[in-house]
Amino acid sequence: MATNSNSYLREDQTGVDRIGKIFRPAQRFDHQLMRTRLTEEDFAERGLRVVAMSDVLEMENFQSSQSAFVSPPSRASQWLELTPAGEQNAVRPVAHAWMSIVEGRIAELRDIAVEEDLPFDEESAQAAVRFLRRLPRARQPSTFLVGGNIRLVWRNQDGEQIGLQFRGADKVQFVYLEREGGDLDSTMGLTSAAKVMRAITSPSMKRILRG
Amino acid sequence: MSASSYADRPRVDRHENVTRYAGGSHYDATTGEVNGSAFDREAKDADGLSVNRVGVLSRDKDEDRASTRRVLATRRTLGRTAIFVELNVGAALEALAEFEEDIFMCHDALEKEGDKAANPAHALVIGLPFKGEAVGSLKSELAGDRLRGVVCDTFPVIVPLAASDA
Repeated sequence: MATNSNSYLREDQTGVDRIGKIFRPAQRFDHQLMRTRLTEEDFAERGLRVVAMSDVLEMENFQSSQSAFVSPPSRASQWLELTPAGEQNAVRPVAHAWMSIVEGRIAELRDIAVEEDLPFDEESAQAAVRFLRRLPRARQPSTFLVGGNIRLVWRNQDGEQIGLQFRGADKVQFVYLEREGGDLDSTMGLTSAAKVMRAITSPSMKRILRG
Repeated sequence: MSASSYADRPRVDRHENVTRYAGGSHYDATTGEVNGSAFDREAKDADGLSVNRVGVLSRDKDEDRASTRRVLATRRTLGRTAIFVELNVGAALEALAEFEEDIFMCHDALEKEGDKAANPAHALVIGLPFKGEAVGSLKSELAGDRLRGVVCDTFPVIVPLAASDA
């Protein structure tokens, strides 16, 4: 994807336009094009999003944190911002001490699949490992093989769980069990890894990840 | 045989416990956790989910478990990392009530067949796996997770030899 960023004159700089009018700082800007190979989902997984300038101007926190270099109204521009979840959670991957154990378990599942003539989907295994490498602080999940796919499960003492079955490169089938009063309510579906990451790292669910 | 042909079979009492064989793909020894997929379809589950009634082969718990291992070893290959999961029949049926399906457990004693030992403890969970659901489907997964929530015990299929037996 490509984003446009405006660069502005510093406070000690001045410029002259084509008709000789002198610009004060923050009134003249040059468009710069920034390119990246990251996708919107990559951004989303890290609690970031690309928003149009018009949306930025609507944001409450923009009004209170205006930089000296920003001067609305501005030409069309895109901003890289934290999502609300990103602001709350500051999702940052960590290197998990248990990662080698899980990778060893996945290798064991590959062997079991051969011994018991079960299917084993390599794309699913790679997707699960990729997901875990992007996960912020969490306990080790339990790892299983279901219909050829890797399933990761976190359960806590209360019987609550996060169950994620990796169906191919980016689809995740999820089953969440959360306690509401005396009952364990279920939420389930099929969505992208990025959306699952946002959901399970939300304040209401990360307690299940962390135990 | 269809589910209706099992309807007249004696039901397993709700107070009884049953065990289910779960291969290594359903059990993570690094965390000690079992997955609900232990209750999903296997090739051997033709008419329903195969389970074994606890206390039929022997009233002594250890001997009952040893007998279960011996009988099953004549009927299937036992995985080196497999376990048995045990659950109460009443608790299991209650856990599945939300699916509003006709699910029940009935006796299904197996006769000796060539080298395969008789298994008088064998029983079937009729109504599982869900008809028309693929292994690992959302519905199957939720049902498995509900059953996993009422597992009351697990024990290994393969028991290592004690040092004194070596």
